[in-house]
Amino acid sequence: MSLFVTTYKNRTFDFVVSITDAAGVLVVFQSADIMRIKIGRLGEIPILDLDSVAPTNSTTVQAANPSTVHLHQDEADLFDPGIYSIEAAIVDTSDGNSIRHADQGVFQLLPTQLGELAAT
Amino acid sequence: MIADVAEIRAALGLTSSITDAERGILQLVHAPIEASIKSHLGYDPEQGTHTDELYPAVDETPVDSSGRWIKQGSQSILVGTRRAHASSDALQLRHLPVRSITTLHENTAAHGDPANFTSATQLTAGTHFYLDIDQAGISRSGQVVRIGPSWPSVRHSVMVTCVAGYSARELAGQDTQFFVNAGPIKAATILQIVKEFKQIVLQQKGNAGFTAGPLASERLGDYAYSTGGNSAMLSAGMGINLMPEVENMLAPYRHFGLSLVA
Repeated sequence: MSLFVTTYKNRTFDFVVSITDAAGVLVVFQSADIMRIKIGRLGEIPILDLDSVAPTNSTTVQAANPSTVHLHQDEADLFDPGIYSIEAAIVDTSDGNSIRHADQGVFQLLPTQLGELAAT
Repeated sequence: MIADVAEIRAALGLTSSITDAERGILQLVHAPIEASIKSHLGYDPEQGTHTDELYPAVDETPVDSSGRWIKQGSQSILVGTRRAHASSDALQLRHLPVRSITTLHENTAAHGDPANFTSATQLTAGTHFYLDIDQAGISRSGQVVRIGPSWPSVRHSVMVTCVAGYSARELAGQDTQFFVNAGPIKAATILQIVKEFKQIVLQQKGNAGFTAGPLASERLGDYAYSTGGNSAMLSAGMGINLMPEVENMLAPYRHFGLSLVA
């Protein structure tokens, strides 16, 4: 598996997370299961802790596998440009809401120019 | 952690993919090297709250014969033990840079027992002491100045709880508030981890004989080799010596807890 996301500060970005088993087959995602994405530094409170139950402001995670993550620019602006850890996990509601780690990867946020407040 | 594992993966070129074995080696070298870096600096550079029992120290010539040579990059310098041979108005805190003092107690009869630093022994900032700040929010010297009388020269007579260390932004070299650049600490940490990681991987693939395995077989025609796992080999690189360039990068940030002999 690999989980490597590159995006830009204060820019909206969509990416897809696919969780597969060792044979490369998509893990079956039950309708009540929850997809979770954490971005930050290991051992610390995540800068962004996303789940498919409720959006975080304008950022959403799709309750499915593959799951589309819609990272809104407001949340992409929470980070300084740099490299962070990203984790994908599934909360298994049929197993007492246990959170199952899928993969831990690299999330890199690159700097941008300023002046994004207006439509033009 | 000073360096996040994602940053180390990026430095190793392992952003897109990493094997479980590589994750294991990374885990193996990461924590010990961060500990070596902290030990070399003499304090924890990550910002946090610390409580220390102290007694005043003076930045004067060594007062006893316990001076010793230590290696500083490519040169050696003589340091002497900092000893409170006389009362002083400056108290050197252990962790740098100091951001704020939460509480400070003084009790010459504490005898090292934190329970003896009661509320009655607490001193007040601005009345009894002040932090030697460079600007609001940072004291690079990490010294607390006593107002009025000197600090006592009795060991463990002062207990300080303070917030000290560099923020994540400062460690990333991205601070714009205080213009503190602690980026070299993180860069040095990553550099050392990359070196140790590669050393272990190379030993796994190339070394045989000194420690049993892990080169399991080798053939010269159409050169090929196979490797085996061996925990002794995995840990062979753990006698960590910081590289000279790493020591040089860390040099401006060291806190000896000792006085330099001029």
